[in-house]
Amino acid sequence: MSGLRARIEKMLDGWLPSLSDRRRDWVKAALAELPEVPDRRVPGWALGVGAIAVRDLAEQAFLPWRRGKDTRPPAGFAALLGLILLALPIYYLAAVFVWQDWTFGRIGTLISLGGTLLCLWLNLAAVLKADSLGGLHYAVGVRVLPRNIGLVLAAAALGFVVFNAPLV
Amino acid sequence: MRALLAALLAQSEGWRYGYDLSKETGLKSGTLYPLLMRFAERGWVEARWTEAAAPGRPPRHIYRLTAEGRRVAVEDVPVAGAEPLRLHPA
Repeated sequence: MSGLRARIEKMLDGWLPSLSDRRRDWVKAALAELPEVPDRRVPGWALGVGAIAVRDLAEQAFLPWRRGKDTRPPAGFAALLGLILLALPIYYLAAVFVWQDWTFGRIGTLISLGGTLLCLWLNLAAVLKADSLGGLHYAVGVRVLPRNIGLVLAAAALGFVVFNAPLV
Repeated sequence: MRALLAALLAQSEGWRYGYDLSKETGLKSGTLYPLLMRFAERGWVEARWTEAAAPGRPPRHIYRLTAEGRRVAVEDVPVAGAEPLRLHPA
């Protein structure tokens, strides 16, 4: 368990610089309690603290006015969120316009529509804030648009090869 | 929320550690710290860092009620069946 405790400490400690000023001290405070927490309660404690941190990172991503000055999201978080927000619009477009029989039904389409709207908002917020995503490096970001187009084209090519059907 | 105020009120002159408050109230970390943060923003709780008692341990955050927090807690905590705690005062 000490290995798990150390890994949790290291991961959350690495997230601290990415958190907003409002929450950083509190997450640090919760993390400082970890040595006092008995082994059996460590996963629950860490999940709770992690949830506070993830909520803060998500707020900073989608609500730019809450973004801390000069903060950048942890690379893993940005990559995961970015890929999700890249995949959902692709799924939505494919479900609506191309492979109408391929969807998981209305729920899948609605979820992907929600993801598409969040993706659009993330980019619109970045444009409105005029800070090029404030240094955020989400895969959907305007700054990495050429790479995203490349990813979409690669997905289209893969789809064509695997399913012998064009995406568009 | 009321449980946390009650725990803080029980030792209103003393400083409390976060994990001790969690044990006493049964609140998980994901609930306890957002509540403490909200209380602090409302001026009900003051917090500060303190050196750890054991060597090699990180500094810890400690908490106690402010005078305003004591007033709110005394008003809202002790009466069984009282109205829900007003976290969003008009």
